[in-house]
Amino acid sequence: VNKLLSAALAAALVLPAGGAAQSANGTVGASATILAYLDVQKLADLDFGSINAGSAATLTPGTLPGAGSLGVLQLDHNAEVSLSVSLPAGGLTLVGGSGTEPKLPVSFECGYSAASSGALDAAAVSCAALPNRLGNDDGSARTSYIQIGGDIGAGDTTGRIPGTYTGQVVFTVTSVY
Amino acid sequence: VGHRVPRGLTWGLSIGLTLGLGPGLVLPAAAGAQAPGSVEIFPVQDLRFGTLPTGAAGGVDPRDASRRAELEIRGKGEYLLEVLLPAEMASPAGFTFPLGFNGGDGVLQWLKSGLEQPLDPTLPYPLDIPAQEKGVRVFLGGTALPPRDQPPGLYSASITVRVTYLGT
Repeated sequence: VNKLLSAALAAALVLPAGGAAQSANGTVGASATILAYLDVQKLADLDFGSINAGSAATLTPGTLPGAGSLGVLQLDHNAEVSLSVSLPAGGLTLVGGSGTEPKLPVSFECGYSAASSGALDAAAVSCAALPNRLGNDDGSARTSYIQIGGDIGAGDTTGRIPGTYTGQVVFTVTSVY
Repeated sequence: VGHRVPRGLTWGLSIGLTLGLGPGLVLPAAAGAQAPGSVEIFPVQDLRFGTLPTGAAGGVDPRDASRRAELEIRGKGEYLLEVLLPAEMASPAGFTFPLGFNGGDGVLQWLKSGLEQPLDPTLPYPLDIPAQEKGVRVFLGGTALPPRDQPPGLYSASITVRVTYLGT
């Protein structure tokens, strides 16, 4: 009995020495939130060229126009993006006018493509209804293009004050992740 | 059968003594009267780089109280302090980007006096804690280096401080 009791006491006395740390580790975390990369550049303005009074003009995204030029934006992004498009209210405005002249209505059409010209990835839609650019939610880098075209009706050029009409289509591009 | 009963009682008594004496001897150390060589490390604050754009380095200075990493070491005597620095940060999806640390990314602050001195976290450091200081705080900074095409999201890493007792 005495032997067993001694052994037990010895163990008890040794324990704290073994428990007093001769070394220790401490760990803290490090964190960062990385924003998506997004760069938008205008490569070309949308230009219908010269239109005879009483004639229509059409620029179709995804096709090579016979006259004028499609508008083109280049998007470099490593996340999916959403778009908000602001169109010129009422149409294009006569340059040099008083501001009271009738505006020239335009129906804008947009589409995504993998190159700055040529075929679209999907059918063109009204620019206001252009969907999110999907497909790289894995963070991979991607370059996308938006081709911008539109229609000007023959009726809207009839009796129109001659001159240059301009307006701005503003694309607000946001990374989604 | 009669011989086995006393042995059973003896074991019961020894277990009771062990449990009773152990914590009684350890407690004074936890209260601050540490035995030589005993040391404790308490993580206080993580290193926070915040929100970073891709392609731009983001640095945290070890004197930036709101974003630096902080640990507290309590002990007395001579120790070897080592900081195990991560080479990169990782996202839950497995994407990574490099982290950078240099000789200016550490600061030691003595617990009692509040005095500070530089610490090169990239090298082992002989740390002599005088009894009156009771310990030291370790402040760590660093630089996040996300490349231009880094996938977006939350990234994390771990920094471990290891202290080994060398003597008094």
